Amino acid sequence: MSGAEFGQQFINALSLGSIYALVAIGLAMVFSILRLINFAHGEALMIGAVFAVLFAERGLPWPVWTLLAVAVTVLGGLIVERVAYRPLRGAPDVTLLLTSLGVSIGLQNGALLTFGSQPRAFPTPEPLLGQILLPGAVQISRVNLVTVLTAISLMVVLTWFVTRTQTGIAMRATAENAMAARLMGININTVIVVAFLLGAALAGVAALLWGARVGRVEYSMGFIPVLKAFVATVIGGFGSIPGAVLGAYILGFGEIFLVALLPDSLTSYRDAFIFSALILILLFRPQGILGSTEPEKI
Amino acid sequence: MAAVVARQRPVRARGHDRRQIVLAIVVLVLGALGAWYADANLNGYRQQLFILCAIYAVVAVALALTSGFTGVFSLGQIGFLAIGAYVSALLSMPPAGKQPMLLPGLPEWLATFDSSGWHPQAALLFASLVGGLAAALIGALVGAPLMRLSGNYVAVATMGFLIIVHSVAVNWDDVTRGARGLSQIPTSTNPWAAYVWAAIAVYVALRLRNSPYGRAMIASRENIIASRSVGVNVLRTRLLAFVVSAFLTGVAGSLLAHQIGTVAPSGFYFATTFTVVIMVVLGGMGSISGAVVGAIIMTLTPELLRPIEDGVSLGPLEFGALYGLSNIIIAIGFILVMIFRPQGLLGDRELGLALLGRRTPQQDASGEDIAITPELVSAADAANPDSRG
Repeated sequence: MSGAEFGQQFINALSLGSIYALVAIGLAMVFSILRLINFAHGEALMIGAVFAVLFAERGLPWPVWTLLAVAVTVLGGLIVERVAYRPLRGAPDVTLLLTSLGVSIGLQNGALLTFGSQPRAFPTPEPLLGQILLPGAVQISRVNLVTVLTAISLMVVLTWFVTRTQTGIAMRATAENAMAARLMGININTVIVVAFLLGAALAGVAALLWGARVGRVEYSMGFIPVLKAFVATVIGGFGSIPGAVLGAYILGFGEIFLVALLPDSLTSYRDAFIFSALILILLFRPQGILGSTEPEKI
Repeated sequence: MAAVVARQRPVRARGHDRRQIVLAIVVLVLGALGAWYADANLNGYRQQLFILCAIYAVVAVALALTSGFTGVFSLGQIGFLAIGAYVSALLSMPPAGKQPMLLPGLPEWLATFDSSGWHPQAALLFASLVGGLAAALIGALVGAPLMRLSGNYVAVATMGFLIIVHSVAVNWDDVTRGARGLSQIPTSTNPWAAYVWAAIAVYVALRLRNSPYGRAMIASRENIIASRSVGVNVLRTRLLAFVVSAFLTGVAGSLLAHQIGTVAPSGFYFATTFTVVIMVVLGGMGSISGAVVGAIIMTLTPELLRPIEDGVSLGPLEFGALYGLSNIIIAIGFILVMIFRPQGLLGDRELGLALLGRRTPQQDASGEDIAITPELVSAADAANPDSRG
């Protein structure tokens, strides 16, 4: 692999990892508070992308439709929390997991019904098209660059939020010990709503970046990113937000460089390798790299 | 306390047993009548529905065995369905369909193996048994490490197993023909074969549950530490359930392959997983008859909803084809069940006994002191059979 090629792959991996990270943060945040593995989080991404297409088809300028798409995603996340998850407070983990599977199937088929089964092109805004030439003949696409910059700035804002604001600190306290947080006068329901709101907002942004990356939008598009984000949270440690980000970048780099380095006959088995690694981590270090959740092991 | 437990004999309610036997015979005869009717009188489409109900009953009972009895929630069940389907398909396909030109990865003996001269049902039985054993073998290999995990972790790890199986089925072109799948499988699954396997699955699950092993399973589900303290080997108990479940699911995979005549990876992935999970959750996680009822409901519902999907007219209103509508209805129904009746239709009870107004041993036990419930007693017996009497 030449230097220039390495540089390109490096940015590509960074960009992929950034999208996984945005999705994984939402998963980790909700898991840390509710112990819910939210499979339907991928559908937040799908909804964001679908509405981006619908708004763009109305001829709105891109700064408007991107904002509207994120807003609709947030609204969707809040509705799902209110309708499906809130009635299940205190239910066993597996009940929550199954309900999120149900929500996922319902939303996917809702999109199939209204948006149709045919993929549509993602209306990537003009300024994002094309390539940038860096010194050393490293050519990177604008989409990748914008993805990395957007994700990193959002993560900075999120770090500020969870460490410096009262709501953010309440969130971390609830994740640590919900009962104690409650005794300190923290309104758990507010915290949960905020977690869903932030998670959905990040997924909405991820939807736009993912749409620009893969170039098309369809009803089943949320499935792959949520699975990958999910692996990222396992690598980093269930419920740890920094862990989820770290896991997402490890996965992004692993995926890109695995394909670049493996012989062609094995690259198509990429997912098998990734999920074998997932099982090994669950067996030997179920708390992940940064997680502190008690492993449920016998 | 171990000595006290050891002196107790497992509680055997004789009258209860007799009722159960009568009931079992009634159900068996009714099912056989159904199979006979389906075989002799129903048209092709309805016959296929009967077969599908029976096959999914096998899968749902198998999933109830591991997820409901031991509480180890597996999302990888459909991986075993795929293994059973592919292995049996490769056995039953005529050699013409397995030439090196088409499937270069097959070993010589398998490529030339020819069961087309046998009686179709004998060939089906052989392929199903081998498919089931292959699934059980892989189940043992995968289960030995995975059954150490609990809760969310085991659900995720088994889901990883499903994705790996799917990835191999899609990419191992030389043996599976990738996304195109295998075809030319003789369509020999008839209502009788499907019914007999469903009856076997129900029988095995009932026997297992009422055995000391089954009580150990339920005890370990309710409380790992308490069950261990009376000597239950939790890992071995879970593994037993997982392997038996994998075997039955593998057999169901073979029946499915020999019903449709083709197998393709897309049929063995998350959509099917979700359907089967709903069957078991709907029926009640710890109930065998619940799993059967769930399987029948979930097999027939999409068929009943199909006319709506193809488009309906309500008076002056015309609706075109509404693809996805039946899945939306099923998903909403499922979420409502999770919210308002998370134990499913039957919970831990069995259908017939509930109708007869009798409580099952599990329920009788729930009122007693935790120390010496019948489950724990016979669980202890399962753990050290020598210490009895």
